[in-house]
Amino acid sequence: MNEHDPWMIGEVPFSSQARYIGPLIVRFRQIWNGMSTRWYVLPMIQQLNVLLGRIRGRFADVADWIARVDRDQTSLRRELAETRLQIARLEERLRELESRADVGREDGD
Amino acid sequence: MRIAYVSPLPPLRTGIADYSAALLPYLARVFDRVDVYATERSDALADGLDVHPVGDLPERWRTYDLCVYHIGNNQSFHRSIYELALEYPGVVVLHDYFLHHLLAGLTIGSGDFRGYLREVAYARGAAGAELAYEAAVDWAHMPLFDEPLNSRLIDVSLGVLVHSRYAFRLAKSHHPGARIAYIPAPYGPEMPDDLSRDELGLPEGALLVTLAGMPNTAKRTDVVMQAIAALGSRFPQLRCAVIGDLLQGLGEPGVQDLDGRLLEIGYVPSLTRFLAFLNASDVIVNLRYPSVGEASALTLRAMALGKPVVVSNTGWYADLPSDVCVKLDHTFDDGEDAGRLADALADLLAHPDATRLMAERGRSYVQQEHNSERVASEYEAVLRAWRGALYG
Repeated sequence: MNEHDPWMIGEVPFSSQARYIGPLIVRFRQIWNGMSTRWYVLPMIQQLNVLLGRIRGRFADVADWIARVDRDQTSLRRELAETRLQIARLEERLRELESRADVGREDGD
Repeated sequence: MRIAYVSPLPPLRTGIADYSAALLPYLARVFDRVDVYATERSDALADGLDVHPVGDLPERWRTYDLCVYHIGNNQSFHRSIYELALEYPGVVVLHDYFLHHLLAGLTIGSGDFRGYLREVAYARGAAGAELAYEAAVDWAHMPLFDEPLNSRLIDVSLGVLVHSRYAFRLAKSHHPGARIAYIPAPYGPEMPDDLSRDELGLPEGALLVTLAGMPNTAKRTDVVMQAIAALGSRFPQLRCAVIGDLLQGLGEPGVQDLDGRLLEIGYVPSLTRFLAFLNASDVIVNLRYPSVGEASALTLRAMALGKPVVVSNTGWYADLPSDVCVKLDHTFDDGEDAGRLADALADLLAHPDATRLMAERGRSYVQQEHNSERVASEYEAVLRAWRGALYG
C-alpha cells in the first residue's frame, strides 16, 4: 500500500531489527532483490497500479451515477408531492363548486 | 391557510421545543388552522391548538396547504420528523444547518453504513463515497463540520426556513434554485422567577460568570475554565456558575485550577428558575466552535434579560450586531482563546457602566428582532408566498 494513495501499491523498503548486522542484512537483501526479482516484479506492480487506477475510476463513475439517480429521484419525489397537493386543492375546489351548484339548483327549484 | 406544524414540544429538553412553544400561539392567530404534530404528548401549549401524534400525519397531510417540519440534530427528537419530511415533503425549518450528526446517528448509529455512504455520496458524489469509507476506517475522520448532509432534505422540500443569516448564506450558495428564507428565531416573552441570589443558593457579592447547557466540546467549556482560573487573582470574588451537564466528561486541568470558584448548579428543569439563575448572573458566556449554524436560545434569553453576553464570532453569533454583545474570534489555540476571554471578562467586570449599556442594547435588539409576533407575521408572509407559488 502507498501511504499517499491507498489505491496504489508500491515497494516496501527492507528493514531489519538485528543489532549491528541489520544494515548488512538490509543491504544484502537489496542487492539480491535487485539481481533476482526487481526487474520482474516492478513492471507487474506498475501494471497492477494501472488496473487499480481503472477500477477506482469505474468505482467513482458508478458512485457519481448512483448519486445522480438518487438526486433525480429526490427531485421527482418533490414534484410528486407538489402535484398531489395541487390535486388535493383542486378536489376541494371541485367539491365547493359542486355544493354551490347544488344550492343553486335547489334555489331554482 | 391550513398548516401542519411538526416539532418536538416541551417538556422535551431541546431548544426547538421551546422555540415552538414560543411561536405557536402567535402562528395560531395568523393562520386559519394550525394542527400540531408532536413526537411526545405535551400539555404545554396555549389553548386552541390541537396536538396530534406524528404517526397521524401521513393520512392527513394532503388536507394541509403546507406541512412545516422542524429539524435539529438530536436523533431522539427528530428521527420520525426527518423521515416524514422526506416521505411527505413540505417546508423544513433547519434549526441546525449542518445535519451530519443527525444523519450519522440515523445510519451508522443503527449499524447502517450503506445508508451513511448513500447520504455522503448524494451530497458529494464519488468524492463523498471515498469520505464515507475513510470515516468507516476511523470515525475521527467523519466530516461533521465540513459536509452538512442536508442536500437530500433541501432538495425534496417545498421550502426551507433558517433562523440565522449564516445558514441562509450557506443554503443559498449550495442550493441556489431552492426556496429558502431567513426568519429570526422567536423569543418569549419569558419571565424569570423572582428569586434572590441567596434563595438560589448563590453567593451574595460574588462576580458571577455563568455558562449553561448540555455537554458539547463545541461549547469550549475548557477554555472558559482556563479564563476563570487566570482571572482569580485579579478578581478574588469571581465565581463561575455552570448550569446543566456541561462539566460532564470534562477532565482537563482547568477545572482543578478553579480552586473553589466553580459553582455546579446542575440541570434546572424549570425554565423560570433557569431564567432566575441567568438573571442573578453578572456575565453569561456562550462560546461555540465549530458551529452547525444554529441560533442560540441561551444567548437570546440572556440578552432579553439585559445581561452582558460573550459569544464566539462564528455562525449565527457572528451576525449579531457588534454593539450588543462581545464576540470573540476563534484562534485554534486554546491558551490564546482563554487569554482573549479573560481579557474580555476583565473588561466587562471593570467597566460596569459600559457593560450595562451594551446589555441594554442587547435587550432592545432581542425585543425588536426576535419578537414572537413579528416572527409569526414573517412566517405568514413567507408561507403564503410559497403557497401562492405552489397552487397559483
